[in-house]
Amino acid sequence: MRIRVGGLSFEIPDGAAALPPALVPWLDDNRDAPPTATCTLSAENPDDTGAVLFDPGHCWRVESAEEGLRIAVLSDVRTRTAFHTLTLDASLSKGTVHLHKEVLVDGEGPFLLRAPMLELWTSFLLMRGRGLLVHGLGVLHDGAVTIFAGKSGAGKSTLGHLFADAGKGHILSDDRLIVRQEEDGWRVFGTPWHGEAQFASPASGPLRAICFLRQAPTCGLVPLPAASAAARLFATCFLAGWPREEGLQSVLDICARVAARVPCAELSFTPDGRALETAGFP
Amino acid sequence: MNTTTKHAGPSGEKTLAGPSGRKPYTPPSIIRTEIEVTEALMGFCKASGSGSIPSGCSLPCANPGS
Repeated sequence: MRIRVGGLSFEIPDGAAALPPALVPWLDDNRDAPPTATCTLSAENPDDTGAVLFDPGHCWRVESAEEGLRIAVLSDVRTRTAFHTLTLDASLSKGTVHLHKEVLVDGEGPFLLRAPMLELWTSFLLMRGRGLLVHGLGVLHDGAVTIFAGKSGAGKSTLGHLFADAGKGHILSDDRLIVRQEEDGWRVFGTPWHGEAQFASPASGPLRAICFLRQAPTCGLVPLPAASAAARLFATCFLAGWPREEGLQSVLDICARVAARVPCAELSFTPDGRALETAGFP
Repeated sequence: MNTTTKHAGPSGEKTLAGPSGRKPYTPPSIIRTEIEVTEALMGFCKASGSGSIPSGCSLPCANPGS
């Protein structure tokens, strides 16, 4: 089977596991082009124990591997010792998953790319110059997407509910969006990784504008110069990738290019319909 | 002969005056923006608030692979 997220396709062996319902909309029947990445399952633990290259101190870390790198994901947060692993070649196009025994069951196995493996692999691929994973609400309306960017608690899901209740636009995600450059400009893709409002769609559309969210007593829209917009956009990007310097440079470059071309503004808003009017959705 | 003179800019910073008749050089302003490192590195879970993926979590947002 093949999953396509943000234009990146992942080939997974058929019959290896049932696809989680949350990922069904991202199934891809198109076999015309080779996949971006291919994944296999290994029953064996990787025998090349690698050094820890980067440990952000949360649920994943990067280790060295013989032919590339390994993403190790905690399988149980209580112990912080058991890890699922995704071993990747240098190009990140071939991955081998080993799941810790605690999730292995008889019969049908668990889905290979358990959370957050698929998201991390996607982020690693994007940070090789392919695009951005942005913390934002995406609304497809009149053929183009407006991103409402902000960190946790900024109001993305609240605003998503307002759009849904008003019947305005199609929501791509209320938490994580992928932005990539195509021949005709920047394009925004929905992702399976939604926020509290649980909006998630595989749809996509050209990027129209970016609004950076700020909760305030009154509504207002203030255009941002490109340099400020690039900095604000960078601060709302997810930065999981390796090598770290190369990945950060990639994100910085793309943020600058997006901000130079796309209108950006700060949206001060109250959690009611006035926010939509202020943002240009009367 | 070109001369340079240090003087205070609008916010008190030093700028260098260019050759006579030219606009003084003012360094570009530095834009500071805060990054939430925990979020940026995807090390959080809204469901648990524990900063990680909880074991056995069945929420689609937290664990679509389960």
